[in-house]
Amino acid sequence: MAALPALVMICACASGGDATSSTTAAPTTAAPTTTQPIKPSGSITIYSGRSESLVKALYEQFTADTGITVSARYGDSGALAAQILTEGKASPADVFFAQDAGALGAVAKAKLFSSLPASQLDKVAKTYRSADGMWTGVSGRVRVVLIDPAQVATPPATIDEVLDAKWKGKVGFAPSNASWQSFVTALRVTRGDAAAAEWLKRFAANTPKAYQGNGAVRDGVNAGEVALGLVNHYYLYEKIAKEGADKVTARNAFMTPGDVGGLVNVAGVGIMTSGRNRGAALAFSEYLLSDKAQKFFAEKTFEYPLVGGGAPAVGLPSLADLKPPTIDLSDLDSIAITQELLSKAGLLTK
Amino acid sequence: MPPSQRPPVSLVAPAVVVALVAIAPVIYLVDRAASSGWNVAWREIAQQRTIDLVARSLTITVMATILCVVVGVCAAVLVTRTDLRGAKIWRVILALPLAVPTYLAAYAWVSARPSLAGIDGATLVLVACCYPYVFLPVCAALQRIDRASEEVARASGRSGLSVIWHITLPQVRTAVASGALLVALYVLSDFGAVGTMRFESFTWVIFGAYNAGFNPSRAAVLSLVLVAIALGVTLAEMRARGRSSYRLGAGASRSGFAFRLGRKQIGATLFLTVVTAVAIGMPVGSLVKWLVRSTGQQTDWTDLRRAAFNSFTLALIAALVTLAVAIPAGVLAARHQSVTSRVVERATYVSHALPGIVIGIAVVHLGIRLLRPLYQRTPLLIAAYVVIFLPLAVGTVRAAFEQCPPRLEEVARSLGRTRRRALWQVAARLSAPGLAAGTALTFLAAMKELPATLLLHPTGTDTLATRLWTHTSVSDYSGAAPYAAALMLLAALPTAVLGWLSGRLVGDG
Amino acid sequence: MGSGLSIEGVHKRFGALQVLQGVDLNVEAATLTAVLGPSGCGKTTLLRIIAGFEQADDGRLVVDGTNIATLPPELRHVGVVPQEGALFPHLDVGRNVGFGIPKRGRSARVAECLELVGLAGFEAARPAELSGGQQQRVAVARALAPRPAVLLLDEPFAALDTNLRAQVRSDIADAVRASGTTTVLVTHDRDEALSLADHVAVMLHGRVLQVATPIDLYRHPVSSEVALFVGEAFLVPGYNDAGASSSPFGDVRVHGPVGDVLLVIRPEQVVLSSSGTFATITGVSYFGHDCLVEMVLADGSTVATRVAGHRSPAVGSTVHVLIDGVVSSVVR
Repeated sequence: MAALPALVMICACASGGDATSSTTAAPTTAAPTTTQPIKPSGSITIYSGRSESLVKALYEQFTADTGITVSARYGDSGALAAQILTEGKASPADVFFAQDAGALGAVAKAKLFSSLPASQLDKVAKTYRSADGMWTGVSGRVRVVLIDPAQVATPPATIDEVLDAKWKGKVGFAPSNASWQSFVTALRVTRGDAAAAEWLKRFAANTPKAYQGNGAVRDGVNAGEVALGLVNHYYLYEKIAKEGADKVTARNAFMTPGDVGGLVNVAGVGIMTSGRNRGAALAFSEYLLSDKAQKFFAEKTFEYPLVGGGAPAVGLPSLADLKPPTIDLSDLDSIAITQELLSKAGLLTK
Repeated sequence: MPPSQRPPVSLVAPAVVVALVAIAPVIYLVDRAASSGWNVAWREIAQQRTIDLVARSLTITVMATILCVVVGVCAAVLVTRTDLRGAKIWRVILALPLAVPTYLAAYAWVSARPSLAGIDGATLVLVACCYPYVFLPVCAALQRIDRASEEVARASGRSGLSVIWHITLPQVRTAVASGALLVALYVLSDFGAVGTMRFESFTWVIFGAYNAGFNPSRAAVLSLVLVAIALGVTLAEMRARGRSSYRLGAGASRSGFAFRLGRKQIGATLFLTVVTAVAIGMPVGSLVKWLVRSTGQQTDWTDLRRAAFNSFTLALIAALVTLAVAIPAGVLAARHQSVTSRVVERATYVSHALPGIVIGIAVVHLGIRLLRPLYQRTPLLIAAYVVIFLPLAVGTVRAAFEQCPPRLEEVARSLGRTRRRALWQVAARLSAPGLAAGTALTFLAAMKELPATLLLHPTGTDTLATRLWTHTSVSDYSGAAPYAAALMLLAALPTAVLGWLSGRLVGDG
Repeated sequence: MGSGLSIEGVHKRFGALQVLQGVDLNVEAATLTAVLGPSGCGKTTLLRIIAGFEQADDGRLVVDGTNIATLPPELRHVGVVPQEGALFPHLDVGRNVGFGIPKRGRSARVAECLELVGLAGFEAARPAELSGGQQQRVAVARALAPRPAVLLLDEPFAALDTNLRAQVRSDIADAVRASGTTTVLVTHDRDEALSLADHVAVMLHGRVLQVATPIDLYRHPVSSEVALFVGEAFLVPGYNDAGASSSPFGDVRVHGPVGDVLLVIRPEQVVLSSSGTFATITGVSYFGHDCLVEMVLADGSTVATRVAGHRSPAVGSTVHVLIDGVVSSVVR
């Protein structure tokens, strides 16, 4: 079942080169297009915090569908935000497509985004976009606890249960991963800095195992090195897609509704005031919110579509069922303070 | 009598311009830091956390530098001054770690031994990747010094070790100091090793200020502290360098006798083998592992070829331009010792301690305002490379010209050559091996550079380093493997040339 | 060729140090003038100023009626042979010698110059393959090849072995003379200066004190300082009264200033004889072919002389000494 997306993904990975090379990853199950015929044309420059191997095929499809050519500059979302802040109003970017809300919030704060039309904003639930309409989430990822069923009979249902002494030395996490740091930021936002510090202190006392990245955490859980792993939901499905369901024993445990451990992070998009092709830029954001793109995220990157009606990949509980905690994503831009907290707890660096 | 003539304007003017370009990022940082108000800046600097960071960065810098000096000097003595078996091959092998980017080496180590994360692992990786900065100049210097003094000392009954310590090494002090300077500046600026090893140094926090804090002003303030440390380091190097002296004899040095290793032959070989295993064996081993795993995936050869071509071309242009730009400052430093020449030379060094992302952001700031048509085009990217790697070239140009006696240029002038032609026809020719070494060094460094490349590369022009990042950023190490292999192979070529050049003498033809 | 060099009032200061304080020197066309002085007297600075490697603070350098003092080195037509030759190590001998001459007729001129210095056929040799003396010869050939108006030799023999030096020295002097080039040789070696040069300029403390032919210089120094610098001498007070003076040796013939003077007595003028002043031998240094004999006179003054080896006297013996020839006087 998972073999087909896997194959497509590998093709997407391998098809490097410039934007003119032909699309190799045409979606095999194209949904009926609901977007209107789009008039804008020309080209746009996208600062893409989302990595090339994930979204390049989508950009190519956008060009094929709209005739608007895309020149994409890939980079770390944070570095791209820093670049945009430095470029200011002279930025050559038309669109900023970022991996997380923090980077979008920073650019919005510098007043470098122009607001999105209500027609686009209304497609996305308020939780997943900026209150002032400067950017919107496009796809979501859920924090989960990945478990090794061989070691875990009853998975933790809240993030506090992870602190239980029985998991001492058996929890894996990726200290430098942005999603983990976003979760800690959410913890700070919902419970206050002191309580967050206390949680981190107890977490550290449980001697968790630090991995290089979320992928390494996942592999560690799957190999039984640790019992639990604090990761995003899609790492599991990536591995299944790549190696086959029979090779993967680890399972996702979703948190109790409302628990901060089940935070939803979003990847999102904003339109630059500096852009010289606003029409085409808006066509791009419109496209990201279209059924076609939403389906792409669900099937190719195993993320949650954020536009009403978009169903997640097969086997995933819907966002409506998960009832993630309600947190204003714009509040998650204080990662610097989070890092200081992590550093004090001895969880960031060694 | 040293040439005390006032340096010609045609030399000083370009050197000063180059120095100004080199410190342009620092000027930007001052401006940026000031924009948030000096009070804010001062509070940032004065807080305990910043002071801790200074201590941490100094600790790793001092540790890595000392270890690089120990490893580099020992290795250099072994391959140039003893009857070590296979010395010529060792000389090339020992230069090779320069081809390994620190982020790759660090990843290889930390995946194999997660417990290494932290200062131990970061130091290990930095020493493994940087000791050639000491090894190469010291090899070259050892090759040049007059053997007579060693022979006299030997004849007076000193043991081989005592002669090396008391007679040989003091004569290569300048080379050791300049190599150590490059190591120290590199360690201060490195993110690849400390980032992967999660050691919270200045660069870690500066990257964080950009990437997580979205606070370029804070990054600027912290970067200025780094600049201050770098200034301190360069001053320390000037102290350690002492008075430079060079052989005036026109003939080639005699090849001196070698110290017999005897039973220590095995120990020496073991030492070099361990160094090589740590510095090259480990990263190459991981690479092979990834490559084997990636055999299932199909490699896009066209893309690989294109990225390799881009890497090669950009790095070559960067190396040649950097060399050309470095010549006035290097010649000035070698031939006209004065306050001006010293300030100019040191100015080119300061930016080397800044992480690539800081230089990149500075060039973004200046480029988009002053050189808008060139923004995110090749010339501006090359300019950033020049600023970052200038010290590598200035140092080698300086050393190369110092070895070429000024007398020769004077004779050429009395035979009807203008100053510039004499410099070109005599000094530049004689310095060719040194200049080639400088070019190779810059080429290597430019090829491995990532943060500034990501910010400034022309859209659509991917390099091996950026393609490597494309894959590693999503933990696709198998997909990254072919690019990593191509990068290290392409880099290994000039590195081998470097090792070979370190054995060549001035004027060998 | 055929032009002389006139150095007029050249001054040079390095920081607080006045190195040249008004040097005047006239070098006649097609002659070899040696500038003789101890190290630190400013002679190398003077040479570097003539070559244009340093700028004089003041003064003129006239060649062929033209002041060249402000020209860059490459326009002066001044050839230089530095210490140790300074051959270009990356060029073979032929290309070293041909470095300063136009392509046309180069190989012929190179061959000619190499022959002049006794190295015909060495074009393809690398500098590193040559002995020190050969390197110096090539350096001279290289300097002569463009037919410079003036040739400057900067202690060119200092680095050579003693037994090699005399041969190289005379060969090079012959070559230079044969080329007819106006030549300035800078040296601290008085034997070299006296034996090679047509004129010797004695330079002390940044000034030229005397210029003369070697014979005149030796016989008639203008001051005690010059007298002592150009050769061994004993200075004894005397009174020159129209060419005669009393001395510890009795009356001697004197050339030079009159009145209260210092008499300059060269060791070779002191001869052991059957008559004359009594002297007691205090020491003998034996060299085989000759020996240096030290003695004390009746009035307590000490002198020395050289005598043939087989005439070596015994220490403690008493001898008679005479002064042979005219002694020079210098102002006291």
